[in-house]
Amino acid sequence: MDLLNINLKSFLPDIIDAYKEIYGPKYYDIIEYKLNNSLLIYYNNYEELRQYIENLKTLKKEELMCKFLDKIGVDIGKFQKKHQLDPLSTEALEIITNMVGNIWQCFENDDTINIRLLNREEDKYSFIKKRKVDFINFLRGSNVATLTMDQFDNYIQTDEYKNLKKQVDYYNKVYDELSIEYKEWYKQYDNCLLYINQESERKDQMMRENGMKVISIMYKFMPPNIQKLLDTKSDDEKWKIFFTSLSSDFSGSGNINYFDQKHMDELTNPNIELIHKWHIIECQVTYFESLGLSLPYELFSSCETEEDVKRYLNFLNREDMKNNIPTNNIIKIFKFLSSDLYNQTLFDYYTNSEYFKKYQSHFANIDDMKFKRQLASLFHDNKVCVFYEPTNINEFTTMLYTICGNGVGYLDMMLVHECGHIIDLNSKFSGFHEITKDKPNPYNSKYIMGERFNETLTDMFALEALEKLKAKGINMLDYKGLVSPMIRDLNTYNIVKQLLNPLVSDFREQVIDAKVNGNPQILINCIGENNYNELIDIVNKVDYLCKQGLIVKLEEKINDEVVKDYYEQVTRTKVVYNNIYEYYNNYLLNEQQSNESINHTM
Amino acid sequence: MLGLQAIEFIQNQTIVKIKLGDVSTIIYNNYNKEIGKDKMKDYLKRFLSIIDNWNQEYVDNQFIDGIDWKLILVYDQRIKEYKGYGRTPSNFPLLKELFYSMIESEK
Repeated sequence: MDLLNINLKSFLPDIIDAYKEIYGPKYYDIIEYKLNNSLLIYYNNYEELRQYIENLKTLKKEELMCKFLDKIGVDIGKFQKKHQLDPLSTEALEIITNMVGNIWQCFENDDTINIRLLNREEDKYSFIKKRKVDFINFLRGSNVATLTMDQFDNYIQTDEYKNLKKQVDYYNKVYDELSIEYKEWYKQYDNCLLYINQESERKDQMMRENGMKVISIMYKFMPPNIQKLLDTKSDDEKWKIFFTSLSSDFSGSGNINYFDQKHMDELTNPNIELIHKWHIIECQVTYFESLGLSLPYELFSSCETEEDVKRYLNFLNREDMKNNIPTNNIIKIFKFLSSDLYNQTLFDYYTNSEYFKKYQSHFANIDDMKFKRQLASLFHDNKVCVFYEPTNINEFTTMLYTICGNGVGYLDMMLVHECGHIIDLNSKFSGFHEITKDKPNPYNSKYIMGERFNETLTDMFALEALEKLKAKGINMLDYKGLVSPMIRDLNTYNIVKQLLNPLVSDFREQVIDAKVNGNPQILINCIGENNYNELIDIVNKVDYLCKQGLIVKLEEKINDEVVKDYYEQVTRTKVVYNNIYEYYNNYLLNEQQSNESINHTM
Repeated sequence: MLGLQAIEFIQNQTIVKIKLGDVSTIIYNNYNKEIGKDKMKDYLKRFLSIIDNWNQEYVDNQFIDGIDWKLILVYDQRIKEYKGYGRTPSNFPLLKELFYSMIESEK
């Protein structure tokens, strides 16, 4: 699959079929209409793509190293992974580490790996001899006496060593074959690596240009003594004076910022941890030293106690230092300039990306600067989401989709989940989630009230759809069709989903009807408003408890307040469901009576 | 290290944990790596510069499915948390880039 150009539309027929099967014939038209009439934007961020490929590399290396162990006769059955995306067992990792070193090194830094050691001649370096001895001891196992460094020279003359070496030569042969397989496999990402390098360079260049612009403007505001010092500096040296990071990305804070009142106050605040004081002093000292001001070394060689901080502050207060400290006005101008030009660089970088250019013509209001900035910010944040925005060809809605760095085993689920949102999207509601007017979630201010409830239900139906797709052998974006064993905890927690299982199984028709039509009232009519609100509150609460470590605590059988609180919510859920069934029976009775009365009248 | 014990970063399925000490450990995707004190100080300087201007919370509920993230600093006496949903500080990718370079260079 070409990760740079994925045609999301090509997956739609299968996804549409899966949702049709789940939601039923009543919704065939709506599912088809909404999904087929949406704008699906696939884009890439080079940092995330790089991380994704790195994760695939680790996976491939694990697979090949297990193959290696198998071929050299290690019984790998006992530490076989249950799932390909599970981490390797400690036992397997230990053998691999002894054979080749860290698994990350495999097939890349081949000259330094342990199985190559015995062929290395340069024994004058004792560390190589030491490594050889360690490796031989590993190969000989723990049942024989440990070989020492002193015994090594005699040992290599023995038949035992000659046999051992033959064995290792075979290991090398097997490893070399697998190394070819790895390199062949890795070739498929050549175009991605080229893209990553090009994009990284493009961004670096833009950052560098605008960072230098900040420096040249700042020069005019600096006092004459500093200007004089700046005149003697190269561009790289000037960069180091102004910015904390040597890379071209000049965001975050410049050295000058660390002289502002906030940071100076922190230096004298007893409640601020030493690490922050150390950092402030480091940045201030970098500024002074990069300008070429000589400072007493003993003052800054280490700042690891409050006494060191006091000594430094006394030094700053010296009369001869005052002219060297940036004024409040300079700090203010620098902060404004660097932040403004940084944001402008990001905006220019994203709006000039090939993906942005490819899709911008779709949007009717692309010339509206506010919208353009918003869209660039979505690209910057690597967002996978759906949103309403008028498009030139009246597309129903827009989906942004990208590869996430840690998306191995999650990509199909993310796509199916977003398609679920498209089906549910209406003018005010996305399923049960009122987009603009909902109150905040009382347990977690990050979310609004119905958001977790809606997300959990969307995930539950998306999981059903994904199962249907995988059962048919349909693989869309996931590497080798692998689905992460953690998929049920992606985005929302499985433990929360379990609490909603009775709702989805016993009121499935109403849940789907309310969700697809963006009309929670359809469900509320059947289960009662109080019960509906109670369920939302329970979901919000348990989601919050999960974020407080509930799942690990349950696994480790820790019985603290979080766990107690969870069990209270489970009991509360049972009561709510009892109330729901009671409410629903009354509802059915009322419906029946009202139907009878209509029939009677007729 | 100077009052800071650990750093933990969680973003959807990404978890990076850094335990600080004379020898620090970075834990990523179930792999552990050790980092020496001087090198760790360089990383910490970059890390603290990146988060220097961050607010405690970034939220944007305008879009469905925002990025859910959390950065926790564990000090000797307290815990400081930065978190967000649907929104991140503008230099957020730098933090991920830093973690990435820590993992890469220590491989």
